[in-house]
Amino acid sequence: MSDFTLLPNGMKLPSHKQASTTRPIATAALPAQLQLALAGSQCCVEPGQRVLKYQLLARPDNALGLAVHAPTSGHIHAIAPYPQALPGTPLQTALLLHSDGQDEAQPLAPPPDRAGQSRLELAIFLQDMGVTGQHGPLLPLSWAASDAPLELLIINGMESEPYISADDMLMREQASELVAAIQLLQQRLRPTRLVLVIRHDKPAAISALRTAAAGQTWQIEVREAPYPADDAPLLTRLLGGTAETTLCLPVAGVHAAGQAMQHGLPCISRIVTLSGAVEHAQNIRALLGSPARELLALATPHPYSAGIIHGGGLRGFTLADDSVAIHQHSNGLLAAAPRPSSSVAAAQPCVRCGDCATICPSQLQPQELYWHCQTQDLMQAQDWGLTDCSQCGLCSAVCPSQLPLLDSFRNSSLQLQADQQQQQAADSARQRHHFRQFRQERDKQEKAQRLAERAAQQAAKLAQTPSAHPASAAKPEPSAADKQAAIAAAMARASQRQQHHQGQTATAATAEQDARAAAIAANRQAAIDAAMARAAARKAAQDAAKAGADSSPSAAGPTPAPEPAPDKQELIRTSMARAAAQKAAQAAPPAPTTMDDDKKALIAAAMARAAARKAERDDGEQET
Amino acid sequence: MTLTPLMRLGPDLTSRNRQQLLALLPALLVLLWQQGIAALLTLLLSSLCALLADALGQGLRAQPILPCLRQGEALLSAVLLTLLLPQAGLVLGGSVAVAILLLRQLFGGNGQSLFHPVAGALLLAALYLSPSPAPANPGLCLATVAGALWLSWRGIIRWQAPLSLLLVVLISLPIGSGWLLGQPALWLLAGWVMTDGCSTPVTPQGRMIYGQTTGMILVSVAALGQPSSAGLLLASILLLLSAAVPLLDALTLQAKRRM
Repeated sequence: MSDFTLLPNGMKLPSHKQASTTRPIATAALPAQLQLALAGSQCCVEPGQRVLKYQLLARPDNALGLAVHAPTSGHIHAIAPYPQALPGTPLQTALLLHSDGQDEAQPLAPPPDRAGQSRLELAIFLQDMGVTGQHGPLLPLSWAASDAPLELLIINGMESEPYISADDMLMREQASELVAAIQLLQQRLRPTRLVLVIRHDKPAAISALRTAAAGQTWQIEVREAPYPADDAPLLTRLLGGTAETTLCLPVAGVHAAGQAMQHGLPCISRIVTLSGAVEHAQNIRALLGSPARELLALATPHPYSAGIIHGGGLRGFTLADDSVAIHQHSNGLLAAAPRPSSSVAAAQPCVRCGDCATICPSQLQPQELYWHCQTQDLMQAQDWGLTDCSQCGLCSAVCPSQLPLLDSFRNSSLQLQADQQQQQAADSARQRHHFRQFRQERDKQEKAQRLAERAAQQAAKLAQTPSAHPASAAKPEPSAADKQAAIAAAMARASQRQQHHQGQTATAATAEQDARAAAIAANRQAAIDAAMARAAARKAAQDAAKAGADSSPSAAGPTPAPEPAPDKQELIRTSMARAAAQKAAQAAPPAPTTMDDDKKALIAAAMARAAARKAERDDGEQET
Repeated sequence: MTLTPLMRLGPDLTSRNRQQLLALLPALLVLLWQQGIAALLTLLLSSLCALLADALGQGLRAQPILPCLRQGEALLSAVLLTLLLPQAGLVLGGSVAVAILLLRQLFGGNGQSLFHPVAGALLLAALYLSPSPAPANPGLCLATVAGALWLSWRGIIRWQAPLSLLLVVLISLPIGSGWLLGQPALWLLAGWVMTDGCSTPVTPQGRMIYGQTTGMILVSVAALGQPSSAGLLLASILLLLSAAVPLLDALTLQAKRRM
C-alpha cells in the first residue's frame, strides 16, 4: 500500500490517511451545547422545552429534508439563525440545545414490521429516522416513489478523499453491523446486483468485511481507482451501471439505516476524522451538532495551526467561524497549517497552462468554466459542463495561478440550484393560478346557467298562470328590442367617433390652434361616448340574456309570443332611423378638416347623446 | 474569503519559472564556457534591462513591483535572449526592455499578452543587427535539449507543440531542413517559447496544429529560400501564429452541450 496515488497527469496525490487510522474510534464527551440545523424540516418543539435523547425535534417538510432528533437530553435554548459548516458559512435556522448532562433517553419505538414495508415506506421511515445519503434522505423519495427497476445497488466504501478515514474505521470496527444493514437493504430493495465497493488502500477494512460477510450472496469488490473514486456518477460508470437503474449509497448512511431498521435508533451521531496539524490524529463518534472547535480540540491541534478545514484535503473548505457545529456530512475536521509565505499570494491571472483540463476527471475545461462562473453567466457555465463537475477540487489544487476554481464552481452550482428551485416554484405557482382561473371560470358559467334556469322556471310559471296581466309578460320583449336598437345606435356612434378621430389626427398637423382644441374636445367626447356605449351595451346584453331566457320557454309554452306594443315599435323605428341618419351624415365627410365640420360633428354627437338619453329615460318610465 | 484547499499538487507560478530557469542552466554554462566574459556581460545587461522594464511597467500600472520581479518572468526572458543573441550586447538590452514594456506590460502583465516578449525582442534586435546565419552549435543544442526534456518530464511544459514542430522538421530532412537542427535557437524557442500557455493554444489538439503549422512554414522558408537566421525566422512565424491562437482555441475547444 502506497502513501500516494498517481493522478492522470503524473502528479502524486498523497493520501495522509495513515495518521488517523492508528487508534480505535473514540467517543466524544457530551458537549455543553449542540446546534442542529433545520434545513428542509419543520421544528416541532419550543424554546425552553425539555427534550429527551432520541426525541423528535423537527419533522421533514419536503422531499429533501430530514427529521432531526435530540442527540442528548436537555433544554431547547433558542431557535435562531446560526452560521453553518457549509462553504461560506451561511446563516441558517437552527435549534440550540443546552445539554443537561443526564443523557436521559426516551424509550425507542420498535421499528415497523419489516415485511409490510414498500420501497417508499422504507424511504420515508429512513427520512423520519434522520438517515442521510448524498443529498437528502438515504433513499431518494422521488426514486422510491417511481417504479424504476433497481439493477445495481452500490455501497460506496471508496473514500478516496485525502486525510479522511471515517468510513475506513467504520468498516473496520463495525463490519458485522454493516453487513447486517446491507443484508436488510438487500431484502427490502431486492436489487439485481449488490456490490460493496472498497478502495484498495483499506486492507484492514477489506479483511474485516470479508470475514463478516462470509456466506452472503452479494459481492465485495476491491477497486484501485484514482481520486475521486468515491464520486457516485464515476463509480456507477466504473461498475457498469446506468444512472437510471443504479443507486449508490454511502457506507455511513447504510450503517445508520441498519441501526434504524434493526433497533429503531434515529441517527444522532456520525464518525468524524480529526487530522491535519494535530498531535493525535484519530476518528471519533461525535453527536450531530457538536461544535467543531471542541471536537478538534480532542486531537490536540498544534499551537501554530491556523483555522479549521471542514472536509478533506481537496474538497474541504476553511471555516470562517470555528464555533459552527458538525452536521450529517461532516466527515472530517482538519487543523490547517499556516502556508509558507510565498504561496499566500493572491490569485494570479490564468497563464493557460492547461493543467486543470488535463487533471479534470470529468473531462471539463475548468479554465473556460471558471471564466463563465466568474462572469455569472450560468447558461454558458452549463454549456461548459457545470452540472457535470463533481467538485473534486483537483483543478484548484494544481492551478499554478492558485485560482479559486472549486469555490467558484461550488458557488455557481448552488446558485444554479437556487435558480432552478425558484423557477420550479414560479412554475407551480403559475399552474396553481391557471387552475384557479379555470375553476373561477367554471364557477361563473355554472352560476350563469343556474340563474338562467331559475329565470326560465319563473317565466314558465308566469306563462302558466292564465293571462292575469298580459302586458306584464309582454313587457320584456319590446324593451329588449329597444335595447338592441340602442346598442346598434351606440355602436354606430362609437364607430363614427372613431372615424372622426382618425380623420382628425391625420390632419392635426396642418390644422389651426382652435381646430386642434376642437379635436381634443371631440376626442374626449368620443371617449366618453364610447364608455357610455360600452356601459349601455353591457346593460343591454344582460337584459337581452334575461329576455332570451324568458322568451325561449314562452315560445315553447302554450301562449304565443306577444306582439310588441305599438309605442315601442314607434320608438325602435325612430331610434333606428336616427342611427341611420347619423351614419349617413357622418359618412359623407370622411375626414373633417375644417372648424365647421368639427363643430357639426360635435353638435350631432351631442344631439345623438341627448336622444339616446331621452329614449333610455322613456324606456325606464315605461318599464316602471 | 480564502477557501483555498489544504493541499497543493502542482507548483505555483514562481516555482514553475524557477524550474524553467534551472533547466536553462546547462545551456548557460556551455555558453559561458564557449564565449567567456562577453556572454556574461550580455547576460547581466539584459537581465538588468528586463527587470527595470518590468518594474517600470508594474509601477506605471500601479501594481505591486517586487512580487512580480520575484516571480521571474522577466528574468526568464532575459536569460533566453542572452542564449539566443549572446553577442548583441546593448542592442539586446534595449530590445528586451522595449519588448517587455510593449508586449508584456502594455497588455496587462502576467498571463495577458498574446505575443511572447522573447520573439518580439528577437525581431526588434534584428533591426539593428546584420542578419547572418549563425554557425551550428551542437554543444549548446544538446544542453538545451537536456533542459527541455527535464522540464517535460517534470510536467512544467507540454510536449505537443515542440514535438509537432520537430516531426515536421525531421520529415522534411530530404528537402534540406537538416541545418535547422544544429541551431540552438530552434531548441530554445521550441522548448521555452512554444510551450508558453499565453501565446499558444490551450488544447492538446490546438497545440499540435500550432506546432505543425510553425514547422511547415519554417521548413518551406528555410529549406526552399536562402538560409538566414533560424531564430529570427522562427520568432516571426511564432508571432504570426500567435495571432491565430484565438481561432485555434475556438476550433478545438468545444463546450459540452446541455441535454
